[in-house]
Amino acid sequence: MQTTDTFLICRLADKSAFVVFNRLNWRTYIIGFNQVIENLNTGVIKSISSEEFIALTAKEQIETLFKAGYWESFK
Amino acid sequence: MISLNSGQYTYRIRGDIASVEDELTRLYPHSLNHDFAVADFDIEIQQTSLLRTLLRPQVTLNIEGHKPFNPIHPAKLLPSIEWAMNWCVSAYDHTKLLIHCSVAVKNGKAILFPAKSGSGKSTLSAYLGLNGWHLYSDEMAIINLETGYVEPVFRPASLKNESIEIIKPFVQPNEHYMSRTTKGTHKGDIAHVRTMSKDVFDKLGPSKIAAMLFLDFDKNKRFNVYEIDKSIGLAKIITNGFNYSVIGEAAFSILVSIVNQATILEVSYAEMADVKELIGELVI
Repeated sequence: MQTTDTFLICRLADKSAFVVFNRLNWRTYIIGFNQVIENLNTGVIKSISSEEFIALTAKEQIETLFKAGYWESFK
Repeated sequence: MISLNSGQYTYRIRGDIASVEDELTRLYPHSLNHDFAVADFDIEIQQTSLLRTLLRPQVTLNIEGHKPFNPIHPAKLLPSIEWAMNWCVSAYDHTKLLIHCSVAVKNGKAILFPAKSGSGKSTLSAYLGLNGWHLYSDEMAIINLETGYVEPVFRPASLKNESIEIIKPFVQPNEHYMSRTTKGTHKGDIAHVRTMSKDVFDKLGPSKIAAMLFLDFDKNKRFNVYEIDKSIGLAKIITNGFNYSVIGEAAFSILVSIVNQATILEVSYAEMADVKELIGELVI
């Protein structure tokens, strides 16, 4: 579980999804792993290819998505 | 007035309990007390009016100052007291994560059956409780927010309509007790069944959640088992949370942890014995 002032984020053990808890509005988001891959393939996230992304650890994937500003959309 | 101790919670039940006291004594052996005691929750049986007392008697349940249920005929009091006890916990206890499901435990491992109306959850949980499993609850999983373990309550299973006759043959008079049937409640005919003695309950402890089964009962279907994505399991279990949105961050963290380590299955079944055999393999 990775924690910021705003979010709790982790990837589920079976890699089916990232789950996000917004500490400000108390909403839970479940983002399918395939959705993230599609966002990488369609250029919504530009900083890394889907092949490179898949090779990362869960922690690295979450951090990569932080750097790409991906989690900001869940505020 | 009586005080009823369910292991996790105590209830003070006030008012005219004469018509249900004998049944409560059998459903909750060694758990009733007539002395004044501090209770977690207060349930008062009130007459609706003097005129109704004479003509068409009705009572209401005043639960912690609220009246969440419609007035009922006094003959329908027993199931209403049971529902009131459920209501107290789901409305007020936010120190634990409460999930709407039944919980069966064996070898210190718990199986959760999240509820869906018509899924046969209550019938199955009573059947398991009477056949070698410990029924921790047939209504809600009470989950410790620090450990993620599910905790037992000494409460009977609630049975509706045809389930009553299905379960009756499994009741062993020396170990279990099935209450009389209350006819014509808004949920149909209702009976309650105690699946263990107080001695057995007293030896139970918190249990790790090994699996969650989302049940689909259909007497015309073949037995089918599918493992589902943890993301789908998490979404489903959140929708069954009584107080997930009240607890917030701690509930999210512990549910993610539970989902990550549990087996999550969708099960279509027609025979309860098939489910029993399946979950027996999950707790070895």
